Amino acid sequence: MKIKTTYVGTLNGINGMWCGFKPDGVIITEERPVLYAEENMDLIRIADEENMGSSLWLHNGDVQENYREEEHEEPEEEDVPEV
Amino acid sequence: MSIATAIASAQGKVADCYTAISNKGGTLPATQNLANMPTAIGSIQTGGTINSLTITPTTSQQIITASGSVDGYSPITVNAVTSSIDANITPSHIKSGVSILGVNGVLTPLIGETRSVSITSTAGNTFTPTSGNNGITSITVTPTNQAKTITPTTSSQSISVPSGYSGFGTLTVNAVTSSIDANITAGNIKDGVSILGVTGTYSGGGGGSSVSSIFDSNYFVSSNGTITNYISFSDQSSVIHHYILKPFATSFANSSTIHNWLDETLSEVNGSIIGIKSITKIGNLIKNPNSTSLLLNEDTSTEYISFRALKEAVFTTTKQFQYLTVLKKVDLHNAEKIALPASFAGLSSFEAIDLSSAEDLTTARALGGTASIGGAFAGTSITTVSLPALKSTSFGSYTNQFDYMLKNVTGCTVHFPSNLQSVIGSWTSVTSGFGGTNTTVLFDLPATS
Repeated sequence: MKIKTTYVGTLNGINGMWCGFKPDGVIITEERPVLYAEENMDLIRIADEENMGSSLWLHNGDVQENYREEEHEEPEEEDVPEV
Repeated sequence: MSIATAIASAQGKVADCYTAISNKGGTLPATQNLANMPTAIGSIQTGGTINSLTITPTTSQQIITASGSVDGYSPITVNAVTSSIDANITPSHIKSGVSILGVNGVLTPLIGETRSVSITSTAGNTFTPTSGNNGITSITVTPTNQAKTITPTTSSQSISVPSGYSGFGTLTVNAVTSSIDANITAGNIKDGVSILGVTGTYSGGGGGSSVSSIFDSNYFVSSNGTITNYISFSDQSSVIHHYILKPFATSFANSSTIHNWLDETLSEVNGSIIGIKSITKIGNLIKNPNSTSLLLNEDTSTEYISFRALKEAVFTTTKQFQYLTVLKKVDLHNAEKIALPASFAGLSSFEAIDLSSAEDLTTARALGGTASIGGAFAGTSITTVSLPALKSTSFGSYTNQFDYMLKNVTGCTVHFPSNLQSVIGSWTSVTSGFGGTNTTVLFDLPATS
C-alpha cells in the first residue's frame, strides 16, 4: 500500500484534480491523501472485510492502518447492486 | 603798413593757430602767445591703433568698421576671387570649352531623342541612343503579355512564359471541381457530406456488396429485390460482415422481446452491429440474464459498434460486451440515459466511447461497478472520457456512479462541465481518480444547468 496525493487546483485557468501527480504550473488549493493498493492487489477494510478496490480517499479521520491488501481475484460477472 | 598794424596782424595769426590747435584736440594754455604755442601744438593727440586687415570676398557684401581699440586698418589686403566662391563651379557644370574662375568646363550639351520599344522576352533589355544623339529624353516600353488559362491538377505545375512574350497578362486559374479525382462520387462520400459539390450517399459499413437502396422507410431492398429488415455486406477487406439493423419495431420493452426478435431474425449472425437506427431503448442486448452472449458470441472481429439512435442504454448486468475481445469504440452519442456498469471492463483494446448526450445517470453505479470487477472502463486502454451533458441533477440519490470506473487504467483524463465540481468534487471516487492511476479530472466543459 502507498499513499499518494490528489492535488486540487487550477492549471491554465481550468479547475481540476490531479490524482497522484502534480503538473508544472498548477496552482494548488487543496491536497488530499489517497491510499493505493499495489498492482494486482485490492484494499480490504479490516473492520468489515469489505473490498474497497484499488484506491480510496483517506479523510474524515480514516487512516492507512484501517486497511490491508489482498490479491485481486476476477469474479464471475454479477448483477450490479443497487447501492 | 605800420608797426602797430603788423603787430595786430601777427596777433591775429597767433589766435588762428590756437584755434586750429583747439580743433585738433590740443590743450590751450592760459596765455595764448607765441611762447606757449609749441607746448599747445605738442598737446595734440596723434595716430591711434591701426591694424592690418585681410578680406576674402564672399557672395555677400561685407562692411568692416574699426571698433574698440582699433582705430583703423592698414594695410588692407583683399584676396582674389577663386572658384571656391561657389561649390557649383565644377567642370561638369560648365560648358565644354568655357572657363569660369579658372575651372574649365566639360559639359556636353544633351542631344536627346524620344523612343518607343516593345519587349518580347523576359530577359533584361538595354536601350542606347541612336546615332547623332547622346541621350534618350523619353522612352515608351510596351510589354508583350500572353493571356493564360490554367487548370489545376493533383500535381504542382510550373508555368513558364513562352518565347516571344515578356510575361503573362490575364492569368485565369480554373476552379477545382470533383473531376480532379475520379473517386469523388456520391457513392464514395458519407451520406449528407458534400465534397467539391458532390453530396454523398454512402451510409457506412463495408463496400463489398451492392445494394439498390438502403434505409428506405422500415426496410432494406437489396440489389436482387429482396426486402428485409436487415442487410448484410462485407467490408473491403472481405473479412468482417457488418449488419445494419433497422427493425420496424421502434422499441423493445424488455430484454426478452428483443432477444426473441434477434433469435428469429439473426440466428446466424456473426459480425458487428454498426448501426441500430430506430430502436430507442436497449436492455441487456448482448447477453441475456442467463449469461449467454446472444448476438455476438465470442466475436473476435468486432471493433466498432454504433448505436446512433439509441436514447437509453441501461444495463443491469455487468460486462455486457465481454466477448467482443477486440472492441475499440462504441458510439452512444444520442443516449441520454445510460447505465453501463462494468460494461467494457477487461477489454484491453477498448479505447473510446461517445457519451455526448448522457445526462441521466440516476441508476446506481451507472458508469461504475464493484471493487472486484471494476467499473465501466476498468482495465481498458481508454484515455479520455467526456461527459458534457451532465447536470447537477444527473445523479439522483446516488453518489456511486463512478466507483472504480477506471480501475487498472493509467493516465486517463475525465472531462466534466465546470459547474459539476461543487457537486461531485468531494466524492471519494472522484478524489481517488475513479480507481485509476495518474487520472486527471478536469471541470473544463461548458457549464450546464
